[in-house]
Amino acid sequence: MIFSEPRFLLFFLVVFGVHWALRQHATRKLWLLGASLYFYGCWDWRFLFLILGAATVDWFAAGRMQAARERGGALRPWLVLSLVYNLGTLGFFKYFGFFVDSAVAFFDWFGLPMSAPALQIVLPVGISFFTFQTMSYTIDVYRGQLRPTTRYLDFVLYVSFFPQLVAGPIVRAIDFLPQLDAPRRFANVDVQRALGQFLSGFVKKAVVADLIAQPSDAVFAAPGEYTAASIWLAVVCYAIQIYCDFSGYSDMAIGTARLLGYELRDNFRFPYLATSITDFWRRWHMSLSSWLRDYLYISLGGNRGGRWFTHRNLLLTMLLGGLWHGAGWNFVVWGAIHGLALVGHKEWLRRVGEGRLPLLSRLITLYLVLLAWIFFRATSFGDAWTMTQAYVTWQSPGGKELSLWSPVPDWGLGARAAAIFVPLVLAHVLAALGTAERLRRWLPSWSISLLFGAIAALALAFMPLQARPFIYFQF
Amino acid sequence: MLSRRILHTWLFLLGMGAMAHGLHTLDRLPFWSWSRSKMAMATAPEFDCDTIFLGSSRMFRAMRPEIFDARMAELGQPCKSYNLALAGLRRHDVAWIGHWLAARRPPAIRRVVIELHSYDQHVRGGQWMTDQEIEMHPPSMLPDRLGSLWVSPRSWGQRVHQAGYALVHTLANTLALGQGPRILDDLSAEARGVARPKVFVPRNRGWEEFGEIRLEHVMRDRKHFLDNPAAHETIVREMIANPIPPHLCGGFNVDSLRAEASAWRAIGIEPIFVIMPTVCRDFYGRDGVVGMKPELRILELDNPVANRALYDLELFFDASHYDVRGAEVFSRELATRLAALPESPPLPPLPTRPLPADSLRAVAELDAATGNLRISATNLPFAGDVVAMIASERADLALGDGLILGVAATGRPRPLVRSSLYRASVEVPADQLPASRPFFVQVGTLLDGKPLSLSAVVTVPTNR
Repeated sequence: MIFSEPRFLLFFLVVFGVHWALRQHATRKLWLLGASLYFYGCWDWRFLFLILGAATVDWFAAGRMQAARERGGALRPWLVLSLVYNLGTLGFFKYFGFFVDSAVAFFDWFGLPMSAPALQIVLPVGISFFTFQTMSYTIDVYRGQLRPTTRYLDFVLYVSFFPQLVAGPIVRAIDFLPQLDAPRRFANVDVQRALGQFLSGFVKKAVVADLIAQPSDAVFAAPGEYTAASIWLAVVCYAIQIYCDFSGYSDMAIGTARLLGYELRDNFRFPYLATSITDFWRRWHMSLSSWLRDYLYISLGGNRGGRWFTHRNLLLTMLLGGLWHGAGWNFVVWGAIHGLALVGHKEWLRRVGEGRLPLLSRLITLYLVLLAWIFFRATSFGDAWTMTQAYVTWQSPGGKELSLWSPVPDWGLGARAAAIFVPLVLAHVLAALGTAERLRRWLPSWSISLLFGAIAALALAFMPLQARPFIYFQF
Repeated sequence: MLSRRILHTWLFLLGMGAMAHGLHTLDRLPFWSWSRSKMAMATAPEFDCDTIFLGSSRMFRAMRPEIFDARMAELGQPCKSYNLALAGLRRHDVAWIGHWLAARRPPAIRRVVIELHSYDQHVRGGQWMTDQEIEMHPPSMLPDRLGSLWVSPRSWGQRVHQAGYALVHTLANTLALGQGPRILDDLSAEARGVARPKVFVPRNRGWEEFGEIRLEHVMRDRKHFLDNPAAHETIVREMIANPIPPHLCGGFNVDSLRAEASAWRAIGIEPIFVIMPTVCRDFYGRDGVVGMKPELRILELDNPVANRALYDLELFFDASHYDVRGAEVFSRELATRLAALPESPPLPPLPTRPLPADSLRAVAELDAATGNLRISATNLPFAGDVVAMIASERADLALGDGLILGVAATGRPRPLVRSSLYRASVEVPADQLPASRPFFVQVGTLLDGKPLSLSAVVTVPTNR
């Protein structure tokens, strides 16, 4: 069940209606917990054991840590238990096949053929997200930044809360658990704002991302057949697709949570308008980048050493961040490109300073981000290399042209691309300038409801009937 | 506070409804994939069949119009028929096609032969949210569908499940779910210079041989049928022994059938209902048909004793469908039975030619700068090639069917390029135009080389 499916809308209507119809705060939480577990069980009921296992182990470990702290005992064993369980689960389900395949390939390269164990492991949906959430909880408790909750069911609800369960944002316990303490009041919910956010996410995902995926899919499937211009456009299409897909999901998650009376942090802030690669990571998947900063980069020593020590930590963080996205070397390369770019930017800042050549800086950032997307999306290194060559040198590997819809037949590829991209870029810039929000405040409230209805109908009409799963579900 | 929220909810729904309604007004053709041509063909101005067949794949595979027509002619009741049955349809879907067609009222149709089956709406997983299912669930059909479920003898669980299926698809239809890109494509097809997708003239007047289809579930059913001859013979014996067993009784939506028949009669078309011969027993509410016999003309072909020729198992492709030879036998038999209906009134005459004035229009304009002639035709029939004849003299040649060739063209007709379903154009260079003035242009459409329609003659007062 994904947010852009009619089934989800039905599910949510029921959850929303019953949630606010219930009078007791505790009953509402139980209802949300049941709904969240049902939502997750829709993929595969067996995964429920996994999520309940992670929640139970971390709740228990955090409780033991607090007890140990109060009596002056050792905390570290409980932290190790939590990390071993979480990273072990993640490693087994997500990276077992990757490491085995890599080992086989490595030994094969040395002329030592090995047979890989035939173990087909299904990747549980959202495992990377809820594992990071529960780990952040125990680490925060270990660091003394958070007092653990004694209410087990509250903790399970925090881990399994369905709006953010399968593709984030990665919610920190410190942000969410306090919200479970106080009863939610429907009168405090800004329904129009929440609905607006959900609708904005729905349009991004169901209309823009799913429709723009079609031309980019064709090129990424056989890049050797296309012209350099087509490859460029396909990369741009993919950049739009992944942004609209993921930020659309986040918007829907935040909107859904708001409708139920809970607040989640923003996950995106117009990343393609970033002035530098460092700025990009302050705007892209903010809940992950801040997680990596707080729990990985800082744990590695952060910038508390020399220049090269900081660079090493940055690179390592981004390499592991790449690997978090998926068990594949392409993700590692993607992480490496971003890591090197961050190191490069740090050096640039040291030598040149901040704020110089802002337009050029934006263009270079965008160029690098697009380049990295090639490795993120390509199905093989060969394809990624072909596309990178065309992207960098503008040499066409083939003669085929990307098929883009246009309202007029004689339009060339450039005009067709402009017909699609210019309105999208314009909408993006206007949104970044806060125009939509200003318009919402300026227009009478009744007209907003009417407009939202019309936009919802238009989005439903333009969404592909066979909804694509969210890209970040695989992570 | 609450009333304010209710007001805003209504405003939201109003906005949705208004937008969905706007999208529907822009949408003119049936949209589900392969059969839209078949449907549109029946409403083209040149459609001249007086008898059409409606139903599911059982009728689609069984009725061969040319064999039916030949037999009717032998029996002294000549007619021209078209098989408009479509695979995957259920009873309410067939009724919906009837309503769709009746609203467009193709002038030639005088008789409609409709497959009659159960109002059961069992849910087929593979059809969830397909174009066809969405299109077949307009809001106007929802009361009928829910009414059928209300009287259905199935369990409450099954009925609730089916009601949910009907509601979701009706909602999808109301909101034009997923249809935006197609509507935009259709509307801009002319500007983009592309033909609408999947435009083709159905072969064999709508009938198609089953053997050409190799879908997995089709072949599975066929294998099951071929592998179990004894089981199917047993079914036939049971049908003879007990024509309407208790488990098939009840749940027939009499009101819906009555309304369907009235709708046809109201526009001057006589409906005749046929219960198809099959080797499976899935007509829930079969007993309900018996009560309708005094009101409607119903041919019950599902009785193996009374319809011995139709129950040779060698004629079946699977338990529900005839193969090619079965279709031949069935088509002849149906014609025989239809012609023998005692109260069958003679068919009214076909509409006379020429076609209605708005059926095909041509415009020919000279470009003042280049001297080239631009010929464009509008309001074209859905099918057929479009050609223009240019001549320096007029003519008055009868082509049959009331068509008059009005120009004395000597060269080959010049083809026009369709820019959409309804429009076509061509630009003729100045040096290829007649030297004399004025000269004359007539546009026509050809289907399989036979003229379908001709425009009025356009006189071009050239200044060259």
